[in-house]
Amino acid sequence: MKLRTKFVLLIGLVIAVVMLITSVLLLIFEKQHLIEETKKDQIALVKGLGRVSREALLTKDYFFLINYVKAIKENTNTVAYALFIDRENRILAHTDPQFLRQIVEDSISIKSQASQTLFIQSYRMTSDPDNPEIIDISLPVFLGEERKGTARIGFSKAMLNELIDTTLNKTRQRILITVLVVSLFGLMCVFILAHTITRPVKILAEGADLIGQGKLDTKIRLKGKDELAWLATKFNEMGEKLEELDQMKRDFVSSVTHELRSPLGAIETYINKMLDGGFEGFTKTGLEDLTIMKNNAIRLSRFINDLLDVAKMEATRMEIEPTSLKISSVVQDVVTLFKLKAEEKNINLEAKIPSELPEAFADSERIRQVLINLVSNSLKFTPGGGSVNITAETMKETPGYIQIRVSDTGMGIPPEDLDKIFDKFQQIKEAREKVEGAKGTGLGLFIVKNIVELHGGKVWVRSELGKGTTFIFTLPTRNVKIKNK
Amino acid sequence: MAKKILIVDDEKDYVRVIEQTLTDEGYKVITAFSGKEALEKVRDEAPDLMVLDINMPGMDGYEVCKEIRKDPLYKHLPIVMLTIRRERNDKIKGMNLGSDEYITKPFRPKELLLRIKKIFQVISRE
Repeated sequence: MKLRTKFVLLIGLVIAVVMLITSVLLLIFEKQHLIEETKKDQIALVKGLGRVSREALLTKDYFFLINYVKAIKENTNTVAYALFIDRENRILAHTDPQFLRQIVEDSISIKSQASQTLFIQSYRMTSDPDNPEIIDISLPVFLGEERKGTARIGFSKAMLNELIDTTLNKTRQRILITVLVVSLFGLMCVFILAHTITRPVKILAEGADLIGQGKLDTKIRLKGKDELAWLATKFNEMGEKLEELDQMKRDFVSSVTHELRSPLGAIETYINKMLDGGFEGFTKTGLEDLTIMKNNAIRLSRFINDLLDVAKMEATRMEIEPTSLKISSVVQDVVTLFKLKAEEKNINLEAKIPSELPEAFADSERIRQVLINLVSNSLKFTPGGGSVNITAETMKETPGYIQIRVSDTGMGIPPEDLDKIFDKFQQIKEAREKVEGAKGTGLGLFIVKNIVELHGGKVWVRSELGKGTTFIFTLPTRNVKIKNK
Repeated sequence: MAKKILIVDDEKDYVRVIEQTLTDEGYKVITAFSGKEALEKVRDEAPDLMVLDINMPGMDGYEVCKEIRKDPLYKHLPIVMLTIRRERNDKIKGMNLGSDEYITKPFRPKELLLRIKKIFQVISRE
C-alpha cells in the first residue's frame, strides 16, 4: 500500500472514531438534559396550578380555576388532565367537565391526598386506551397551616417521549450535518498533509534511485529545514562522495594505464627506429637510443614495483624487517645515488647527520626507499642553484624517536593541497606542468607515508609557496609494538 | 626552403626520436613540452605542421587542436596527432576536432615521416 493511502486511511479512521464517540456522547447528554428540563417544566406547571388553586380558594372563584385548568391542557399537549381536589376529595376543577364535583376514591388520588409534599407517581390508565401511561404530579395546597386540597396534573408519558424524540431528532440532524462538514474538512486536511509529507519522500526515493543507477551527480532538491530536507542533503553528500570515489577509481586506472603504456611505447618506438635505421643508423645514435630504452625499462619496472608495494599496503600485507639501523649510512648511500643528478641540475645536495644520533629500529631497505622517494621529489621540484638538505636529530618531546628531515628550496606546495599530497596519484596539477622531464608516478609519497607508519613513525610536511618544502618523518630507536591499521 | 615542424609532447624521449627522424630528413624542428607552450610557439614561430601528443598535464592535445582551429591565422595548420590513446572513440574525437592524421604510440618513425610527407604533397598539389 502506498504511504499516502496508509496515511489517509489511518487519519481518516481516527477522525471517524472521534466523531462517532463525540456524537454518541452528545446525544446521551442531550437526552438527559431534555428529560431534566421537561421534569422542571412539569413541576413548574403543577406549582402554577397550586398557586391559582390557592387564589381560587381565597376568593371562592372556582370558575377562574376551571378556565385555568382548561388553558393548561390547551397550551401544553403533554398534559392528559389537570384537576383540583378539595379536602373532602371532591373535584373542584377538572379538564374534563364531566368529573366536576365528583368524589375521587381511586388509589392514585388517595396517595396524592395523603402526601404532604410534591408527590410524583406513574401508573397505567385503564379507561383511556390512547394515553395509557401517565405521570401524575400532585402538590398539596395550604391556606395558612390548614390543608385545603391538592392540585394535580397528569402527563401522558407517550406524549412526553414524543416531545423528547422530536427534539432529539433535531439534535441528531444537527450533529449529522456537523459530522459531515467536519469529516469533509478533516479529509481534505489529511489529503493535503499526506501530500506534503509523501511528496518529499517521493522526491527522495526518485533521487536515491537515480544515484543507485549510477547518476552520481544527481542533486535532490528539497527546500525547508525538516528531517526530510536534511536527509536530502545527506543523500546529496553521499552522491558527491561516491562520485569522488568513482573519479578516484577512474583517475587510478587512467594513471596506471598511462604509466605502463608510456615507457613501453617509448621502448617499442626506439626499437622500431633502430630496426628501420639499420647499421648506419645504429652507428649514429644507437648507444644513445639504447640508454633511453634502458631508462624507460627502469622507469617501467620501478612503477610496477611501486604498484605492487601499494597493493601490498592496501591489503595490509607489507612486511618489514626492522633491525638496528645507522641512519647516517643509509642517508650517505642515497646522497651518493643522487650526486650525479644533483650536479647535473646544479643543486647542492648535502647531508648533515650528527654522529651522536642513536640508531633507529627500522628496515634498511624500506627506509632507503623512503629517502629515495623524498630526495628525488625534492630534486625534481627544486630549480637549478637551489639546495636539498638531509638532517636528523633526536626528539626531545617524544623520547625514543629520531626525526629525519629532507628540505629543499623548491617551488613549495599550495596550502590547500598539503593534506592531499600523501594520497595516491595526487601529484598536484601545477607541479606536473612546471616540471620538465620524467614525471612522478604519483605513488611515491603514499608509499613513504605507509612505510613510515608501518615502523610506528609519523610523516608530515611544512611548505611555503616559492620558498621550499620540508618533509619530516620520525622513526623509533627501539622495538615498538606496531599497531596494524 | 625547409619546412618547419613543431613537436609537442611532454615526454622528452618521444620528442627526441621524432626530432631526430625529422631533422635527418632535412626538416627544421622546434619543440614544446606543454599545450600552453605549443600555442605560444605556433603564434611566434608559425610552423608548417604540428605533431601533437594528446595526454599532457594541464592543457591537453584536444584543447590545443581546438584553440588552433579557432584562430583565423592558423586554422589551416596541418596537425598530426601522435598519442598513446588507441581507442576508436579517441581517434574519432581527434579527427572531429580537425587533426589531419592520427597515429598511435608506439609508432614507426618511418611511418610518421611518410604521413608527414604525404600531407605536404597534398598541400603543394592544391
